[in-house]
Amino acid sequence: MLGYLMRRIAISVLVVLLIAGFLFAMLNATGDPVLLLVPENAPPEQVEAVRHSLGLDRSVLFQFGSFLKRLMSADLGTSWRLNRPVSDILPYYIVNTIKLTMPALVLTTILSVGMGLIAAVRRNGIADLLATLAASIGNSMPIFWSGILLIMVFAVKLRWLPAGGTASWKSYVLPVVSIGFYMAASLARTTRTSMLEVLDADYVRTARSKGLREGIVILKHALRNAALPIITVWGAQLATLLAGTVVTETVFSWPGIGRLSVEAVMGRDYPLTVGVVIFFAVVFIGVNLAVDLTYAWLDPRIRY
Amino acid sequence: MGTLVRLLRTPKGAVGLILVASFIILGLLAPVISPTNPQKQNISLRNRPPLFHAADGRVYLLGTDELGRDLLTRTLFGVRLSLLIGFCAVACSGTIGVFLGVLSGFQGGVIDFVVMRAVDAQLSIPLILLAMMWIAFTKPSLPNVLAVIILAGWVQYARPIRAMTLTLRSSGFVEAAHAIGVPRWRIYLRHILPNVLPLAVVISTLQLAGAILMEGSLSFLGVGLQPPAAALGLMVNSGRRYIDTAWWICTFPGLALMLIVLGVYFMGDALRDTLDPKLRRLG
Repeated sequence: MLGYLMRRIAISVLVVLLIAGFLFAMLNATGDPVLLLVPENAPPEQVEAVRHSLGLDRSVLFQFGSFLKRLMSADLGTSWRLNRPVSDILPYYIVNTIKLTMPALVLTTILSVGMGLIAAVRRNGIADLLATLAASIGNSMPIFWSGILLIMVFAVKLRWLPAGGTASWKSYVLPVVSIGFYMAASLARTTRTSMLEVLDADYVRTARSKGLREGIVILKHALRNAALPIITVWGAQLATLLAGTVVTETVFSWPGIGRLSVEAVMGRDYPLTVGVVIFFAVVFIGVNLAVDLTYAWLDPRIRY
Repeated sequence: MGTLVRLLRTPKGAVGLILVASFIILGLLAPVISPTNPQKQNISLRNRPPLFHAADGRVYLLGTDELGRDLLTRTLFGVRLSLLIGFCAVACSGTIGVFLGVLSGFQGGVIDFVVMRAVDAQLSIPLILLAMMWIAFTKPSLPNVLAVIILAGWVQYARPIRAMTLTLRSSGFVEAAHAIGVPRWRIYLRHILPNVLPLAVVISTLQLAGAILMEGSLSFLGVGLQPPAAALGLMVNSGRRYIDTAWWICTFPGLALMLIVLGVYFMGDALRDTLDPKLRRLG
């Protein structure tokens, strides 16, 4: 187990390095960023001065070395546009994104596992049909479009909820529902499929025949065994959730890390872009590792 | 042909197939059946509602957009564009992904390690971020949008195809082929490839839907196709400013996008069950 953990962490570090290299290559391959920063028709001396102040006049290898060194010490540089250290900017936006994604995550998990369970237990019934249909539609709706539809109905027509901002709890409802609906779809499908498989198993029949209550059979005997694929998809959905914030935060003008990434990329603010991408990558890798370790805990048969 | 008939027998497969087929036909025939040109503006007829009767007797079935362009025409051309991008992306990323997946699984060693680490690295950046970076560092254009969707897509094939190849490699018939001296390339083509294809087809349906949604999101965020292209995501974005006065501008293109994706998903589900019941768990 320990060996496995060490190997996984080593690979994760390698992957982060790969991403850093990829980012660095992209930054270098796409023209001279200095020209974007100085005013048009700036004299050559000024261009050189800016280049020197950013260390862009050194050799590529040297730049990559110092780039890695700064990454190691969590120094992400200074945002070119906001003129503040990236590591000072990120926390505010990260906290905002967490405030949005945590309720969405809780909502989807309860909603989708519940929906999938009912659909599996009442197989081919009305509830199953409705749940499957809702899941398919939720899966197919572009997240930017469903967000706009929600704004159209609840903010513009009915005027019940605000269309954006973070002013009160009401501002959370539409973005949370928008992300939640999108995420719930595949989780509900997986729960259903996975439950259907175990409901036919011998140990479920045994549990029933020895007179256990149906609730206990479903929750303790079936759901626990169906949990592995559900957790896998749940982990993958966390990733979807993070990626979804890019679009949802843009639609609802939410000051989170997703919208920040759009602004950083559009404004060609390279240090900020690098900071955001590295943040996303580390979270992704961490989540994947956590999901894999949860397997071992849930299924004693898995030994690393 | 047999697969097609079996697909049509399941309700999901039938609905999916009909949806996808009708959108393909609409997309192909867009230049023929559209009432007008997708770029033709008419400033005096801006933001007209669906079923609007113009003074010259023309009817605008889905209304007009903020520049007085016919929304039905633009939606049809948008469908065409979405499907074009989707199919191109899937064809390319599928080819690359299957090739690298089979190679990685069959050769093992250094190739396997390098390909799999590349997959790991790529899977640890959200696709949309990767796409945005690529396009910000290059230029938003059709080839770049296609390139980034292909780049994002191949990993989805490589990993499962590699896993399947690993199983196939140690199976009796491959070992037998080896033993009687069949050359490697022939084992790839005749023994491995036909066996991983059903899996590749199932992944492709998911990928087709994913590629179409991705292009929509990118265009919506302003890093995909650029105005005045008739791309569905772009139309939803430009309609966003008029949601209080002209709801139809962002509603219909989004609806078209959703129906295409729904059709593809339905078809994919049915296809998965038909081609190989063992693959059911993938979804």
